[in-house]
Amino acid sequence: MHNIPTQHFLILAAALLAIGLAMVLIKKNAIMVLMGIELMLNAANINLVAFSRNDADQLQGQLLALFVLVIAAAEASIALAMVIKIFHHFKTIDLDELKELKG
Amino acid sequence: MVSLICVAGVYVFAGADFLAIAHIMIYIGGILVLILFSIMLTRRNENPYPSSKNRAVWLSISVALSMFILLFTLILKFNYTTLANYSKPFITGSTIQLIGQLLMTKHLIAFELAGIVLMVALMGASWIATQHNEVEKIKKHA
Repeated sequence: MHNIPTQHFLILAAALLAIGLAMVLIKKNAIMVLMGIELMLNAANINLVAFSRNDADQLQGQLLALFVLVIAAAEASIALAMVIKIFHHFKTIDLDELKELKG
Repeated sequence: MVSLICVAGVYVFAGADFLAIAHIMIYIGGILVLILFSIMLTRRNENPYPSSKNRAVWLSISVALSMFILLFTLILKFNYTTLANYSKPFITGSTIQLIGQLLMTKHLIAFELAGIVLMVALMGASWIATQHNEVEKIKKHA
């Protein structure tokens, strides 16, 4: 279990980052875009944890991944609250239809 | 959403047991519920859901795929023996005790700041999502 080479984690994280980027670019629904951002944050976290395996007495990668997790939770709650507010105001969360700045 | 939870399994394989459990708790207990509620609250009655049409699909897929290929070649070409910690031994056993000690000693300020940021963010989120005109209406009735 501890013999997995670091490259495999990095390739998995790169794939997850590419999928997240594709989701952010393709989807029109604001909630789906937020889930794509979560995927990209998770890809960064996998990289941090994978490199943290070589750092058994300090664990700096795992601690930074923990803080990234906290910030991701805060970001998700704020962004979903904004999505709900935007829906109440514009009656849509389609990102292409949100063109007005001063509503 | 399943892939967000499966990341926890990858953490277990990387020897980060505490992080895997924290990830499962945050994503199932927090973010999954938040996303389900916001999907429920932003549903429209007239047409089912706006996510059926997408935009610039092939351009976006090619951008993402080219970025993946770039990262893939970089990862394969990188010389891992130049890393400073390369020869150190891997993590064996549980990391929970070490994470607890480090959070209470070396990373105490960052830990407290993360708590404050999370509290302010949750208060701000609940303030943003409140419908203030309805609150005024309720206050007038009372």
